[in-house]
Amino acid sequence: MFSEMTQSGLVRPEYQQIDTWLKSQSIDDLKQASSEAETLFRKIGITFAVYGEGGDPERLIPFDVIPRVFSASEWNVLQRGVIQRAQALNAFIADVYGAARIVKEGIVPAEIIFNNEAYEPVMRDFMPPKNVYSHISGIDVIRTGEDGFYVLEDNCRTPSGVSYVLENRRMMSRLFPELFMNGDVAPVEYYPDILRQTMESVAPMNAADDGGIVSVILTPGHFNSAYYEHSFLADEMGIPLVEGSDLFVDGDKVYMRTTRGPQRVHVIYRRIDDAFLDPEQFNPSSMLGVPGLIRAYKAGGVTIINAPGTGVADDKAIYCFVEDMIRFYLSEEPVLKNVETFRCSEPSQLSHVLENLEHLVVKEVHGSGGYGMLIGPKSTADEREQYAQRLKAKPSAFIAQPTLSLSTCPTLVEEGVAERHVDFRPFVLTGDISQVTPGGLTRVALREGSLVVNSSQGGGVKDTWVLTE
Amino acid sequence: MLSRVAENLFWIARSMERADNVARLIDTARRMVTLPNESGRPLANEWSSILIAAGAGSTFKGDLEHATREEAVEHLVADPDNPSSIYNCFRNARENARAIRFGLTSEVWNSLNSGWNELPGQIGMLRTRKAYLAEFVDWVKVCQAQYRGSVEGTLVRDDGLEFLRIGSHLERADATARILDVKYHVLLPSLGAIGGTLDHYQWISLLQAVGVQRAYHFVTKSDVTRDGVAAFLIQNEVNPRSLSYSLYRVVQSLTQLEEYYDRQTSCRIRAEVMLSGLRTADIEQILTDGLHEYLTWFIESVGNLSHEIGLSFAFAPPLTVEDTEEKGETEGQTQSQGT
Repeated sequence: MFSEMTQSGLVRPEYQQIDTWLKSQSIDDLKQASSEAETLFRKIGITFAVYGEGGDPERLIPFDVIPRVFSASEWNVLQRGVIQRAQALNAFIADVYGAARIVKEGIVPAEIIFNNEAYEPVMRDFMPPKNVYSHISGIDVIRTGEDGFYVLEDNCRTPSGVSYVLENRRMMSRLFPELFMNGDVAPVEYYPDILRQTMESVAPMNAADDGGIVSVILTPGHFNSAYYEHSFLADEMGIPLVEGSDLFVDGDKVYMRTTRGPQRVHVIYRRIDDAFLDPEQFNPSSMLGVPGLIRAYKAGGVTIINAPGTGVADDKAIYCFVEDMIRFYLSEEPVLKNVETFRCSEPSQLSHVLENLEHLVVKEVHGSGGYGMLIGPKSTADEREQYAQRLKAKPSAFIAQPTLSLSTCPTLVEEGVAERHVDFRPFVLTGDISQVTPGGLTRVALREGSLVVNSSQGGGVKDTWVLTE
Repeated sequence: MLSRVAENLFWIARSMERADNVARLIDTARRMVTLPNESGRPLANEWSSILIAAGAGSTFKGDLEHATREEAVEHLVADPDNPSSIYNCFRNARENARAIRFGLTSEVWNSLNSGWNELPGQIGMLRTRKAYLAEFVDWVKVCQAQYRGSVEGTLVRDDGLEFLRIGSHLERADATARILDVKYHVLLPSLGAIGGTLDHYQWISLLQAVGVQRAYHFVTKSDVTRDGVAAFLIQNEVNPRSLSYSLYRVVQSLTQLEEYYDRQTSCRIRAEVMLSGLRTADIEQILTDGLHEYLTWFIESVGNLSHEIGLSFAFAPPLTVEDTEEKGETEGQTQSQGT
């Protein structure tokens, strides 16, 4: 198990400042700060909603006051790695909706692309501005050793969590301003600026002739669990937060209804799923979308980010091929490795998985939220037996991975400061260029020994520092 | 601004004003019940009258004619099935505010949020202690005052503020008309009683309910009479709760919006026509022809004006919770399990 702060009893250089600081703080000081943070988060209303579990649906994600730190050279690797990955994924999406060279070359099997639920035939032979599909990509990275960075999954649809990156930093600098005095923590605050620039860089041609590019965020509404983030980003960028009913399509153009009359919209950062985007094209009963939106999009009257159909690139079955994509499209070696993954659709891999169930984690290809998976080492023989039946019934619906030991980071818990497992999600923005703000969302499993960082299962968040040279 | 945001603001203001006025209606009934009935004949039930005046005659599930105080208060205050219950007014105001959280100041938000948070406790007190009703009414008025104060004191002076003002004043015009109409529903024991003591007290109750009893004497320098009260509540623009004053404020705000947006609106014209109709109305004639008929027509006109405002600024029907709850956003193939 890799501890981010201490190796062989020595504090790693990037954690020197944290070490000094921690020694100057009593546990009570930290707990006091922690409860202040909670009060503030609640007051600002930084909540997410959980429905169907009873009680108040508005929940708070626990904020841990001890930051997670990357050195400049570690960041250099991570940054190159996630940008490379986002570029390859974008090239892949462009390819599967175009010539499908990667299929013709026999690198990725046709069925896992074209039979994929997330594949949108409506996108075929359509090229969005700058040929970018996944403008905002959340690449989930885990660490198992000094140089052991792995990508656990790619999120190319509507990855969330960036509001916590910004709010966590604001909270840290409010609670412990002294930590930021010497300026060796790279800033993350400009994320909304580069997000807005990214959006504007992919606006339809001639959009600027209308007297300025109008960008909006499209939210399912204030009952949605991530509504806080939607409204936060709109506010930070100074652009309108719209719902489907605020927009309408006239000809090839999209307008929002304002009290001054219709106003043209050029770029839509949608935070609703493909299926709900346009009732004419997808789910006809959707109340959330905008009838005719896809028509206007394909006619070049509006840019939708992320593009419809990007989900074809972040499926667990596709994941196995991302390293190959990097070699194929970019002619580069992957900077970040994949976690070793067994595709159960391959008979030889299936038998390996069945023989080693107690050592593996098995996941559904289309599963999400931690449901429907088997964590081998923590399962009973009965559970494994039942899971094996499901596996054999439909092997192609499953993949398996070895259980990896996530790195740990000092974290404030009831008993004091203790090591807890963490993961990491940086956000890559792709428009004219690909960029990533130095930092990202570190999630921490607050329960001792737990590897599950999901907020719905006892996960918290940390401020993430990238040190300047 | 987005039409939906304008609409949210409009409904925040309407909901808060409505809560205030439902509380005032309840207060009217509370006062009327205590009036001496010297006629020796049974009176019409004040509580059913209030339910009808509040527009809750159709949502009330019990025996409307014999509605008890407990039933009426429960329905008007706490019933989730009554769209105009104080519970729903507070809820709507807060939900509309939540939808535009960043468009409001934290003081405005806090005033709405804390009212909503305190409401269950207040309803609890009301249910356990009958005498708490007067205090409850005061509490609702205080909430409305805090909300109004935070709007006036902290909100940016722009088009958004005008939509709030339009909502408040349109709702108030509607509410004052309804309160005045209570007098019609509380039928007198006999025709002969008109102008009698009970009749007199009932008119006073109406003034007390809208909080302008002293203002009436101060402004009119005369005794409480039927004609006097009707004129004061319909036409007197010194009275902040009169129909005329409320409409005047609506016209002002719509005119201001036309200036901001540099365009004419049909709703402003409609509002002006209504206002001049009120100003030139012959109160004596109205009373002869039937106050109830006049007020019914007026309440309808307010509804039409509200609709027209929606058309002029492109309001849309709002989504329900079921439409948007937990649908609509997937970030990627899954959420990390970190295994």
